[in-house]
Amino acid sequence: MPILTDTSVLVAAATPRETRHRDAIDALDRLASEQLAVPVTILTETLGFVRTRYGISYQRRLWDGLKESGIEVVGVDDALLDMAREIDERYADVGFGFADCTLLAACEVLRDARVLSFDRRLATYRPSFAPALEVLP
Amino acid sequence: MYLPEELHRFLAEEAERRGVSMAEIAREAIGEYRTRSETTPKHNYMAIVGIIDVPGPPTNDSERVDEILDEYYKVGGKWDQEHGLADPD
Repeated sequence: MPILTDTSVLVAAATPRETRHRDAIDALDRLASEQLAVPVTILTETLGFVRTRYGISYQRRLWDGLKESGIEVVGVDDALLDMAREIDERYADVGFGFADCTLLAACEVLRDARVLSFDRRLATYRPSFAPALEVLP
Repeated sequence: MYLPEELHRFLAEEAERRGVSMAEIAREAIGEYRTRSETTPKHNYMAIVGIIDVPGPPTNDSERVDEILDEYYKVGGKWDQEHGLADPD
């Protein structure tokens, strides 16, 4: 079962000046034997974020790095989008946002209760198939 | 070496069935395990580490992704400015 990963860890790992850079490297190192995955929406958010912050050349470099990393990309279909919207409505007060809602919907579809993220808000989500969501690291 | 009774019984039965020693079965199992772990695809998560090597003071962007994107795309924000959509006033 892959561990679904969000933008925060990918950006922190890629950027040495980030305050959580070391934490991200340690997490990736510890999980080296596990399969990591990102919904395509998180991939879009991550690469879009890097472009807005650092420009297209760094977006391309991270794009290549992600391809080389072996991190799986999880597709997003209509059913997953519907589920994401339901999550968004149910947790409107938390304000996860589109990309995170699709991440949580992917957890439901894959019945996967582990995510890798620095966003502690994700821990407020209650999966339908497990008592709690485990937010690593 | 002490083995749990159930495992010992399994090894003994398997060894007897195949006419080999229990040690032979254990060696075979260890060999299979090593082969499998060697052929398991290795990830290279370190491929993304340090790619954005932009110099400057420490940042906490990774914990402010939504906030930074909101700021960038807001009306009159940097995206608008870069695309000639910002109000000249």
